[in-house]
Amino acid sequence: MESKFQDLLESNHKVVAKVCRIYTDSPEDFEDYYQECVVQLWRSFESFRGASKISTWVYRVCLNVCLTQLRSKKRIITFPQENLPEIKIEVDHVLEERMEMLYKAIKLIKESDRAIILLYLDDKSYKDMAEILGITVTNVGAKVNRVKNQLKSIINGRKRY
Amino acid sequence: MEEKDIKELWKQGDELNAAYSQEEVEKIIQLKPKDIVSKFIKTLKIEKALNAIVFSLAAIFFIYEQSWVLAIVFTIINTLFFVYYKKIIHQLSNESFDTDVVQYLCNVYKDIRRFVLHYKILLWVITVPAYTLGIYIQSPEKFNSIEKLLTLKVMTILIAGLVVSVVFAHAILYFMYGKKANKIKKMVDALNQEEV
Repeated sequence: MESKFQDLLESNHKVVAKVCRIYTDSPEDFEDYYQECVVQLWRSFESFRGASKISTWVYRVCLNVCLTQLRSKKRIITFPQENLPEIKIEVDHVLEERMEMLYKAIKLIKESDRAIILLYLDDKSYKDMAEILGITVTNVGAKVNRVKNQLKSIINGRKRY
Repeated sequence: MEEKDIKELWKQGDELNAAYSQEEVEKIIQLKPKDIVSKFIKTLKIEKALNAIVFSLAAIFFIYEQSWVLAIVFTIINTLFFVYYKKIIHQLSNESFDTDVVQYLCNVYKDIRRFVLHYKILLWVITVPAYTLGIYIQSPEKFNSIEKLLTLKVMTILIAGLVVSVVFAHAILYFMYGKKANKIKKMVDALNQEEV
């Protein structure tokens, strides 16, 4: 069971990280949110019967976790004997800077719309987006148009971009 | 910056999101959940245990004192509380994270309201007897006749105390949970709003 879950997380960790990043402003919050997503994915994993696609399930759990987190500035959970694990990244500074700007622009959009832009940027179909969010395909289409235009205006309104 | 450039950058950024190691994931999955519903369940379980202890001790005390009616009353209250807590904990425990976003947000909104309602009920259940007991301790003779009890002074103290307590408690509940519930409700409304 644990090894199956490890495999699932390995192939979906980018989704988890992206969802957490659009809803957090600090590395500490990011770690808290990421951990909570992993905990809830693990707790739901046993009951996952494959009624929806794995990716749909992962997006749902992570968005549900992040949208309903009670934000606390102080860290609540710590590992008993050691520091929290560091994320190991080989940094491309230019790319990281450009990504930071993109995430900053996304975070200027309201929380429910961030879910829409995330799914759109991840190339999810309108049908998948509707299934993840629980709204109609028509509504998804209209929202995507509005939110992507909003994102473009934010980005193009920035001098440094 | 054009739409395709934004998407291109987004895809390149994927490479920056490295995963936790196997050992780290093993540690994470041992952690207790800290979502809002789990916090409610934890709080309610503690309340349930404390109530069971207090009411059981009270019932035992009244049996020892041979106050049979009070012993029965406390045992009934204890049982009712136990059933009530079991029901509310069961309702909250059924929450599943893998439902669609709108459904989940609606469920959490209802759970927050249910939890707040629980405290409002508890507030009335505790405050009214507490103030009555306070007046009884101060001047037990007032309870000898209904006329003495229903004097303007007594009723003013009772009502003013109740109003202050209720307003204060409601304000605390609003800042602890009400704001969060409103935020969730706004997200649900925004997602459900049909756009053209």
